[in-house]
Amino acid sequence: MAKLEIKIDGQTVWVDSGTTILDAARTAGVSIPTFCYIPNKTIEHPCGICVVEVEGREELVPACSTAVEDGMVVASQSKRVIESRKQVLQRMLSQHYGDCIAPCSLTCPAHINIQGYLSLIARGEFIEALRLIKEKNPLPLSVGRVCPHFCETRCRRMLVDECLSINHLKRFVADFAIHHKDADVLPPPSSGHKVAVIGGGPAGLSAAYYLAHMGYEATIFEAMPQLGGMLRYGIPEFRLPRKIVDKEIENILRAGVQTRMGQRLGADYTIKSLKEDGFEAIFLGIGAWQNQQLGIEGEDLDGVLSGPEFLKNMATGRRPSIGPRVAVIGGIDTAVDTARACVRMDVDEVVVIYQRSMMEMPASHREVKEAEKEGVRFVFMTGISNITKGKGCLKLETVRMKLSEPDERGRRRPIPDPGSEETREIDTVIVATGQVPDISWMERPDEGVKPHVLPGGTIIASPQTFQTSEEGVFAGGDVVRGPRTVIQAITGGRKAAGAIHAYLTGTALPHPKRQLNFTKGKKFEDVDLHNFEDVPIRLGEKMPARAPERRTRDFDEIELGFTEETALRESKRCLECGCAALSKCKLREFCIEYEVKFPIAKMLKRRQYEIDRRHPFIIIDPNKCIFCQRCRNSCEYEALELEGANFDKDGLPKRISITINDKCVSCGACVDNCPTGALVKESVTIPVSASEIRKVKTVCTFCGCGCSITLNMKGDSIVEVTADPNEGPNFGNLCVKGRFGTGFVRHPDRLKTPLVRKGEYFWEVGWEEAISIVAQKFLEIKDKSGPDSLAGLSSAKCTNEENYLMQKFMRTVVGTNNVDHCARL
Amino acid sequence: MAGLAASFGSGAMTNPIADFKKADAILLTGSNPTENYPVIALQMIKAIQENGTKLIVVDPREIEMVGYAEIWLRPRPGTDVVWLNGMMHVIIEEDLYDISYVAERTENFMALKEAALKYDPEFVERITGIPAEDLRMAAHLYAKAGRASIAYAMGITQHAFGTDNVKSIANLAMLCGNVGIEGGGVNPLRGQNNVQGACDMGALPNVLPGYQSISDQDTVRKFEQAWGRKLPPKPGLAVTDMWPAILEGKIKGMYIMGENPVVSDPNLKHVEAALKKLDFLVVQDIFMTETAKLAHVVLPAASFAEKDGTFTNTERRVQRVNQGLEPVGDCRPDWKIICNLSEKMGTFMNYKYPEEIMEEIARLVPIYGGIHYERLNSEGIQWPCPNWEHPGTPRLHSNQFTRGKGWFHPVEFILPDELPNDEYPFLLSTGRVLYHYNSGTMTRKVEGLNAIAPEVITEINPVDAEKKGIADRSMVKITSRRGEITTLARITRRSPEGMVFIPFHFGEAAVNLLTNDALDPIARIPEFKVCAVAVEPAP
Repeated sequence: MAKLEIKIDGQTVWVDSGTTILDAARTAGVSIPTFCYIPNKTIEHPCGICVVEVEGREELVPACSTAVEDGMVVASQSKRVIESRKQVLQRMLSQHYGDCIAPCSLTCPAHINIQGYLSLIARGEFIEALRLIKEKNPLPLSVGRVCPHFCETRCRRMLVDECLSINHLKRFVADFAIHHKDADVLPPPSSGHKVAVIGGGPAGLSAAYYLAHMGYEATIFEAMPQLGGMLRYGIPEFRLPRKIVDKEIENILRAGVQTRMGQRLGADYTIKSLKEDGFEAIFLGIGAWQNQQLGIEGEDLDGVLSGPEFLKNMATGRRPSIGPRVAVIGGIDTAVDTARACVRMDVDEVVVIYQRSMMEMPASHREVKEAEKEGVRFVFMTGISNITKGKGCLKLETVRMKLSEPDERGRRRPIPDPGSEETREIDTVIVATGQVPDISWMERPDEGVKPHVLPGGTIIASPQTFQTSEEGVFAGGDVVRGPRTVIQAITGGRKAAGAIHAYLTGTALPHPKRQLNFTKGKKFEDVDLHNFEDVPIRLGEKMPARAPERRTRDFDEIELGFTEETALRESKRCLECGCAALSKCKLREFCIEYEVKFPIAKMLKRRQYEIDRRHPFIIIDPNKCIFCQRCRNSCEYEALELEGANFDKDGLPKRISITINDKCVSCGACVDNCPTGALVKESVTIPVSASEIRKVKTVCTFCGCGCSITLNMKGDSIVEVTADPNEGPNFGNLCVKGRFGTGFVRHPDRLKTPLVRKGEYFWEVGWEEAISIVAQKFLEIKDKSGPDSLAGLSSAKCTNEENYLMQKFMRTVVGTNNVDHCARL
Repeated sequence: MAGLAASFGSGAMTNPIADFKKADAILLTGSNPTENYPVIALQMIKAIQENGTKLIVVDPREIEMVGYAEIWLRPRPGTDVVWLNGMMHVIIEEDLYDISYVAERTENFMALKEAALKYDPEFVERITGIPAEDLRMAAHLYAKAGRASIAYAMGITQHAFGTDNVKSIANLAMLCGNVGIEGGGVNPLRGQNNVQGACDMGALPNVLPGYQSISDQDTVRKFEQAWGRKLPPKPGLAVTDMWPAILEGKIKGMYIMGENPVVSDPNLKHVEAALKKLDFLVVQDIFMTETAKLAHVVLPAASFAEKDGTFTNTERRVQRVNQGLEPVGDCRPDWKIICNLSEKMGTFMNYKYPEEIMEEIARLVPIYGGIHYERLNSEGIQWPCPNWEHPGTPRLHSNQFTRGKGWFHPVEFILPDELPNDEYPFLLSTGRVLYHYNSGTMTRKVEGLNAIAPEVITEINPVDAEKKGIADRSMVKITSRRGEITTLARITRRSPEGMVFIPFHFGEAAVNLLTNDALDPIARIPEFKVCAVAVEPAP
């Protein structure tokens, strides 16, 4: 047959007559987007996104249903085409209702895949859950104990009963791994490129960990005798035990991170000297260790201590001497921690004085409540005027604060209320009002590298590239942002590691893509409560903790951690807000590609259809349907009924119904064809983006057909099974077992260790012991009764190689032909 | 497989799966592909709907494929040789057979003719219950189709005379010149994912890998040289012969890898008694199966997703299995466990990776001579593939049969080993359902699959149900000479009168407590498809 010559975007291609423009473009390597197109099917209501411009034709034509003509000139990327595609997408979006990514994940500073790890916990795959956490947070033991859990504040479960204890679950899996195999995979061998990490706190540890995992030789320079930074020296033992910090650091160092301990910037080395020593990039993660001064009279008196200094001394075993009456001044976490440490010492009274109200207090409110239970008294709206020396004590002059008139930006500041002064007798005053980075090292004359700093003392670094004003010098964590939470410092370190990698390899940082995240409502009050009609109320699990009167007698850890049972129960409360179709969603992909703007304000606010969970493998959510009809057209069994009604002028129906009838054989072709989350697999519970998925091609294990399957892997979890439509013998088709039957691979009932029978029961033994027993017994029987007194059954479920070895073993090692398998069964 | 080997010289699906779409007619018998091989069923359905392929179904049960059939013949169970001979009778008598093919490519036609001519359609009707006219129509349809394929499975082979059934099928295909052509062939559909491979690899008591004879001196010398050991000279015992050998005290120790005979073998009480009598039993599996519970040592193995290797599918396609994830816990892949054990017993098996095993296979097994991992990356290769350059063989016997000329084995009808009588008036047949696989070791661990098919159900015809006073979804007690089980009943026309069907996936109500362990004398395959039972409402 003669070939037709056509031009697509300037490229000439020759194709058979009858070929559609879409297929012709594919042969030319030009991809034209489509939702509805399935080869050899007529589409009743085409989606219209595949339009292209054909020279000489006034109207845009659909590429999927227009046959090529000789000499045709096609433009697939013209302005008109793109405009038209945008409009199609806009129309689809106006009917789309759901959440792309769960609100907990979006709120987490580290963007940890929370829904994913909760689901893995619920499935009992604790180590896999930890692996997912460690992709974003290499310090889960610590964060699981001290994080103020931003995620939980957005947990939609709040609209049903109460939010999930997400952070407790994180701690659970991290603790679980201490007694089991850890989740870490070994980092790649070092590429030899050296990066210096200054500061061994959360930011530095995180940066070093991710650098090591990208193949860099990362060296941490730490001024203190031990690593951990604020984790070790700024958070008291009863909230975060030292041995936990030790364990955490051990895990980081296992990644191959080098350390230089007791090395202080400015005293033992300079940034300049590091550069001279061959470090190609330098990360500054020195934190904010310097206590902010109150700036009042009497601040330097004996008996006035600094909060951070106090905690540091506690941590290094030099317990400060304090009097029976203690006042802690400030509203940050350090203030609360300090006060709680004091009540564990020999004191009569500990009071925290803060100049604003409880609501404005930056410290975690949960910790404030716990402190109150332990006997710490809080005095709010109270300022300090001065400190003077009294008889064997200090005199603290306090003043009641009131709020000023709003300034031009509407903010009301606390100002002293004249005449409300009071004097208190106190033995020890501890100041913990704020911390700033210590940048005294810059004053050293031979330090030639001085990044720019803000007046507050924080170093200026780009939020994208993490570069400071100095070439090759990066910064992240508290030194840039001022005192924040551990997870924020960790995130700074991780992102900086990525930026350093981009800098050293000369690659561009991934462009901060405009993300289109659909949401059912950013604020709780926007979320349609119909979404939760069927969710039975089940209150959350409580963290077991030691009683206040007991725990204040020592410095041991307060919270005891979830058990396996509580963790399983709690994780199962997750409502799975995020879309399970994240990896396959073409709608989101095209919207990002075509930069479709769709303001949150215009998104649908109300659920229109109930979610149908009657099918054992497939969840139908018509709220996400864009009426591409692929599901109906890909069904080989006439089992999927898709109806549209009240079509608008653009051909989109205002009412949709999707039903799976009893002809369904659960082959799952419709789900894999659905380009949105309207049809999702019930078993897909880990939302991952397409780029995170590792595809492993293998062969189905369920019958002799030998269907070629693709395992879609995330870490060591099978997210789902799909099939390549271009590959035989099945060409994309699968049956229910192939597509939905691999859950057994990670079933909790899997045998995990060799077992040896002793009487009635099996005992777990190691491989060496088990193999020795078998070998000895087989040899004994062979010696006594001859090789033919042994028999082997091979397996039609095992590989060729294994069957070959089994018969070879029986024939040569044992010496019998008594080998068979159940082929006949 | 023994039947095909006798007729053609090698026993495997002659044509690729894709050929079903190229057939003008398909004769489907003793196979329920919509439940057992849904993807193959789909290809057949597409052939019928899109290409106009005509389907003949021969099955006592009203399987789903009957709905797509041009003709459905419903023989009494266990009478396959009769209707097959009957079809050949019609074809020979009406001169519809491929005379030149028979002359050029086959031998022993006269003997076949003599045997077949005894089975006129009226006689066949009396034995099988198939109306003579229907049989004639089916014979015409098959014989007159340009390219006709026969697909069969355990419904043909799981009989005490399964080998005869297969030979008879081979006769029919050769008679009409349908072997060795595109879209034709004799196609046994293999039920388990690597049944073909397990046979190919010589996990059989009477042949070495690649079906190489254990009695051929050159072959034995080749293997002895490669393996550095003397080989045992006499054939071993087939699995179905192992159980009696254990009970007689001849076998004392057993090593079972990835099989669950306590659920999958016939006459379970017998199997269980045998396994319990063993001095030493080692079971290597991924779950604590019913069989593993009887073991002295249980070794935890990796699942298919946790290891590398190859499977060979029903159409002889050697395909790469790729590891997706790390084995759970301390599990090890089976090949590694065998290596460890072998080493402990004083023989060093030095394989670092499955590919090294396949290289050894390629050296020793001519039909796998050209199979190398790097060639298997896309769709795999169909054996025979003798060398690196060979592209593989989608269709067997294209120019000549493996044994030279195809051999007609005249086959005579033998009654099933156990037929209904007054005490056990029903025939019982067993098989699979779509949602489970074999003994359920894997599929019964999958929530959704278990939700659809949570328990064993006996299918019974409405007429029988009424006679026996059995209501739909009530409990029934099924009794055979070997045991009894209680299950739910489903009243359905899928089962003919006088026959019940029970799937074998369910260990808690194992149908194989009932089945007969009478064996085919050659293939040693048990008679799963026919045994006599009594059916009563459960008390």
